[in-house]
Amino acid sequence: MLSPALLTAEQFYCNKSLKIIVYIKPGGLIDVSARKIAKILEDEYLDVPVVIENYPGAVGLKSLHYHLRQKPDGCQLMAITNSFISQIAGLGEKELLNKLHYLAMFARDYEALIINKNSEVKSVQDLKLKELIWSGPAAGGTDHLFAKKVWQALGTTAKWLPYSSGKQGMLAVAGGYADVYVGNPGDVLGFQQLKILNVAAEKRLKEFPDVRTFKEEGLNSLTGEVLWRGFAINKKVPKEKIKVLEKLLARVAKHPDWLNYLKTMSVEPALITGSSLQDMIDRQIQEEGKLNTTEQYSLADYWHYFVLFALILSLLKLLLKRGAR
Amino acid sequence: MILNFLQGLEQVASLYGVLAIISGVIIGIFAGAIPGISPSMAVALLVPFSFGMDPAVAFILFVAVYQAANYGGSVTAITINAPGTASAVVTAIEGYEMQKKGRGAEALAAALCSSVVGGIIGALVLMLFAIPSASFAVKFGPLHYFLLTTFGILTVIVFAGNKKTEATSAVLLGMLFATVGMDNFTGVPRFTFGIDDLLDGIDLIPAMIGLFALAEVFDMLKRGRIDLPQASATTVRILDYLKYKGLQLKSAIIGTIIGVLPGAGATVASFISYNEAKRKNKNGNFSSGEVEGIIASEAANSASVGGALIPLMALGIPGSATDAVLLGALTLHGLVAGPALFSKSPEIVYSIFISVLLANFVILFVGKALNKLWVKITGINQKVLAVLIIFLCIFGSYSLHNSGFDVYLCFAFGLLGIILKKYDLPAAALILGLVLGGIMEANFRRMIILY
Repeated sequence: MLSPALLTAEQFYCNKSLKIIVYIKPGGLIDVSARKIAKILEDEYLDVPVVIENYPGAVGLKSLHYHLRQKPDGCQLMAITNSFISQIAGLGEKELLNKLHYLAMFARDYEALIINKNSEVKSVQDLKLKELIWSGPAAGGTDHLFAKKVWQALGTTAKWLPYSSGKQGMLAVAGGYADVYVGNPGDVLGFQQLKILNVAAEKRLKEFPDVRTFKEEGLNSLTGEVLWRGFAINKKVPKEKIKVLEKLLARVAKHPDWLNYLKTMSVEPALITGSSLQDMIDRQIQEEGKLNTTEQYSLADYWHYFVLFALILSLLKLLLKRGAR
Repeated sequence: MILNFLQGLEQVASLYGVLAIISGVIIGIFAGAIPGISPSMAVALLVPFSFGMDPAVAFILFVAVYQAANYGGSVTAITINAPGTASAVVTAIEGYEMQKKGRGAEALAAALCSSVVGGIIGALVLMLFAIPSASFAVKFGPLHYFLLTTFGILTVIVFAGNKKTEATSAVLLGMLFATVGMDNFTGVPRFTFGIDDLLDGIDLIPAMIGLFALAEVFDMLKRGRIDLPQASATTVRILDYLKYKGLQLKSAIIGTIIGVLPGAGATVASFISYNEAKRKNKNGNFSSGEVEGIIASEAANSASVGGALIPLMALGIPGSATDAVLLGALTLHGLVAGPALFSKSPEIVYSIFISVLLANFVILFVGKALNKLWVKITGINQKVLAVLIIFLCIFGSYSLHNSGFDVYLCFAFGLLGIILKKYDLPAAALILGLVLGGIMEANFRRMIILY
């Protein structure tokens, strides 16, 4: 079942295939990463096919339910991100997250603030001067939570302009509709109108040597904030199989193809497993509860009730019209 | 630019390049014709097979599938009232009516001709104006999106003749369905009634095939009579439809412009273009089998492919769901979309541009040959056809998320379709509300935040 290199180390147990369940539609960040890993596993380590199964829906909840319904034979993994953890925890489904064993986190994409090159904002301190518009993906996700942490650290407030995808949020900054985009350093690649203001890395990134870290600005609490990618599996899978998978993923994490892929995306390689990873996830779930407080709603947030009201009026008019005939 | 063009042409004109375009078109037409297999899904399924290919050949294959799938959606829309893709909903309105009247072959020919013309115009705009068009996408803000969607919704109501209240009710019902799910602005679920499957909202595909195809079959079962499409003449000249070149050009321009805007896409393009054609039409045959409706819809949705590739290639911003898959595939091949791609890998950029253009000519030949087959579908025993439609609806809905919930949703929309028919509410207006409602709401709320 294994290539000779691995055969001596441990026995792989899946006879038919190894399935990687992805909680988003094809094309997203975690989907692309999972496909890259699948290819490396297939080419280098396994003699069985590695199949990607996209199971999008309910911000990841459907894929999680689906995974937990499968026979715990260790032949299905879940590709996850910390955004997945935030969203599931935000839905109040923390118990479900506890049913997973977190195998490995192996890509660390630092959070970054991205601005227009022509922006009046020159340093992180300028973000305090007036209430700015910050854009990014949906409210409650990892980027929105990071934005809240920055506002807290700076003692300021700002307006969050959410988009259905992060890329559209970037476009809003490029078009001058938003002042700051919360994303990752690789987002600016190929985007000439944008630049990175600050990055949450411990030290300056090799690919962006001119970009200052939050630490250099004295904002230590923001250091180490990342969007990470990794794998999880049902806790009911036998321990010996989990060990095989952890070893396998540890090898992939050091594979040159994977490292080259991360370099293209300006993402830092990393490998965190075991109790360190579990502690990190527990902390994230706790923070989710603290920061995800209810926002002040505007009238526009009740759009759905306005539509319902208009529909009722329209149907009443229709009934009157038909009655008059 | 000429040198880059020639480098791209060299890739496309190679044996593998030609094979990639032809096979991509065939795969794309069949994938597009099956409800539930969207263009993005078709491309995603091919990504793993592209790892061993030269990146240029892989992307020639992908864009050929992308372009052809947009056309393929019209086939089942016309023949069995089950739009293969979301952008073919409008084609179904007129196409199926024509089919019922024994004019299916004409509808298929008009769809093919207009798709090819639209696709060519979209490809030319992509090749010649990619960079300047991208700056248009950057400047298009929430106010503009809001006005665009308001225009789309108002035109369907204003041109509803003496059925304005019916059209308004249907649009509002669609807009209400668009609010279902997790609210991006507050992170709060709306109208989900504790059902997890509704957190992502109501997907267009089960709603669309339920309202159109399934409702039609239910209606016939209710009447106890199966009288699905009539066999139609097969001797129709495709190029005869070039006489509508003015409408094709206008619709293609609308399609390309809307395609450039990320988040709008082929479905919005086909609706806006259809409404514009309806506004200008003097025959008054719209909604009862007007070929101009098919021409407007198909020219626009095919042109939107070239348009949607502009922000992807020039900025690295996907203009549609299929572009998002292409962006991921570029990354997997070690490429980063955006201006740097033009300087680092011009042969790939231009091979994509050229293959979008050439795919349209291949679609013309393959589509022409397949049209004879599609027309024969109408000759199948009609009870068998009704069962086949129900099977396609179940398969199409299920394959979307591998979820039984989408099948229930499809059947629920099928029943809703019967109610709409009874009260004379236009199903297409509901779909328009569902498509535009979400974009309209999001941009209205962004406007409130901004101003």
